[in-house]
Amino acid sequence: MSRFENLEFGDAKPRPIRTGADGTPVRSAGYFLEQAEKLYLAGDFELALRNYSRALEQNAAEYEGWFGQVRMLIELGEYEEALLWADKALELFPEHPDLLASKSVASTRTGDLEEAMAYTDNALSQRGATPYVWLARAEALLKRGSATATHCVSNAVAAAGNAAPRAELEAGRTLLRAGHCAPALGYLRKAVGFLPGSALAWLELGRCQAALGFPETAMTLSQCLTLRPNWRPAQVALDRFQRRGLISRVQSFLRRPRRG
Amino acid sequence: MPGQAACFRCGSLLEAKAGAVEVHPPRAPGWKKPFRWAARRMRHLSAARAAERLAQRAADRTAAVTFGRAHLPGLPRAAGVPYWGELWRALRDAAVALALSIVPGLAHAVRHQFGAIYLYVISWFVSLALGILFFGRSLGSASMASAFVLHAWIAMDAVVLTKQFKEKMTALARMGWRLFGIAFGVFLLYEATAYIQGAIGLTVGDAGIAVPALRVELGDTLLCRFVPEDAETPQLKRGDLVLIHAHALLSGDGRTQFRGGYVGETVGQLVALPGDQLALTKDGFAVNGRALDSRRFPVPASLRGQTAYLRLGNGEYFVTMEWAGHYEGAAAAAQVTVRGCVYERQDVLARGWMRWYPLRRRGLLEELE
Repeated sequence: MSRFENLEFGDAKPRPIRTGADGTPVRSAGYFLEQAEKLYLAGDFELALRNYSRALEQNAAEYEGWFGQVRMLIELGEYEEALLWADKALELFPEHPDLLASKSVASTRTGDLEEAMAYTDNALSQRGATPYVWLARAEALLKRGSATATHCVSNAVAAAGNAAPRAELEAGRTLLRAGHCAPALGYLRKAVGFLPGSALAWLELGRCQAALGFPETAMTLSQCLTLRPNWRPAQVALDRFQRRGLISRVQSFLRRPRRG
Repeated sequence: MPGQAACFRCGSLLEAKAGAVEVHPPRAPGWKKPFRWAARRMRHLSAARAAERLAQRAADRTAAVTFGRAHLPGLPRAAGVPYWGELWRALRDAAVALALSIVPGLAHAVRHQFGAIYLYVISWFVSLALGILFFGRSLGSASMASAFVLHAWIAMDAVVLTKQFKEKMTALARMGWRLFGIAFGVFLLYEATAYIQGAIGLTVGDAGIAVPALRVELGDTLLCRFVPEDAETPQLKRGDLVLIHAHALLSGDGRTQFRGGYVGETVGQLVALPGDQLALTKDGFAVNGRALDSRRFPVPASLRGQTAYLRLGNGEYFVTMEWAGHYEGAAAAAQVTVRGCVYERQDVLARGWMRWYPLRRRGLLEELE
């Protein structure tokens, strides 16, 4: 393995997976990272975390493994652990903007907005702000109710380059989490168009449509369940949508984007 | 950098052997997650956070004023000279927000800010529903009062969220406006409710007599509709439960005096109408020679055992109820109680419409005749 393959030059390229003589893939760090990415897009954060760990067992210098672990801890709601692990990763990759941004996201979710803003400031001051850095900034600003958050989301998508579908998925999720359903819808629709096999993308689109009260929600969530049968979050979202009451219908109507 | 394990500039790890560093992250125990979630929620809701937000807004405002960004872009304004256009816009926006807030939350909904206020609107609905459900009781009054406060809060929130208010006022000034508006709004709503109640013509009164046929017991609260005196069509029928001005009965010189003094409002039963001949015997009432069913027209305890004949004059109504000692002069008590049941038209305020309280017997009152 070349030592230069760990250096980053902006655009993320798909990592080639080596195969053995019999055609089965070699279980290298790259293989586990690929698996982790697939599992993440399927919404299985727990298994994705394990695969990131396995990738690091193969090669502890894989930055993606560390960053992936921190992201998965955040997705699993273990923010304190994510902060701890980001600190550890920062010992190995000092001042890395993505790791600083992940600390910002964890701080935002725990409610430490001042710390979150400090981390995003630091992350943005580093060279080469990645989509994740912009999205972390957007999340902190959304939490503060700042109107400039949408510009950060746009910057994230613009900075994504080849990884735009993934960035759009993340942008949609960030906006949806902050309750900005209407702008999230556009990003999530694009993400589903580019990543039709991602159960996570379908679930987030379904949640967004449910929040807006769109009738196609049931179809979207059913598609998600087709990709990942018996997935509890999708089942819960579908069940909740089908049993929603008058108040939620009125709320959804009021959230819908208006023309003009 | 060949041969080096870390970048010489930033210290990033370039190559590491497996197992050289711990690669398995710490995990949160499952049982801790709900507690952490609750702690985060508490943190978001705590007063400290609210105070921090207020301080942040005040700081933003100070910075805006300091750097001259306090005014709307594109609006020329000399220092110290009031710009009446801005004032006019502020008043216009506030008036629109207030007008829309007649329906709580509508102003927010129009501006797509309903999410910020929906809990207040739900609380308002609940308070209003409780206020209507328990109308006439202290719980109902308290619920209605909280509905007033919530309504005023929502309306003032719509006002202070207008662009002009947000940009021109400090958090403290907005809070002052909000409190003043709430006080004024509660007063207006109270007045409006009294007016609406008068327009609808509903009031409540406690039953002064038990009527088994109507499932009304002594002390039950009845919802009554006002009966205007100038009504052309006769609205009062025999058997109706009516809310009347109750007076003390005086018998100073042995002669019955009906109007001793106003002591309150009570619901009694209308037994005889103007011009009727009423007879009271040990079997009960008889009107115009026809005996009345004692289950439908019960004789109050104060009249039982008496025998009396009475012809009602024009505009006189015979209303029965249990007297609770509202008379003076024990010698003429018997006559007083018979004669004391005769009321004039202006004393009849309202006609019973619903059994209102207790809740388990709530329902419309039937007409006995």
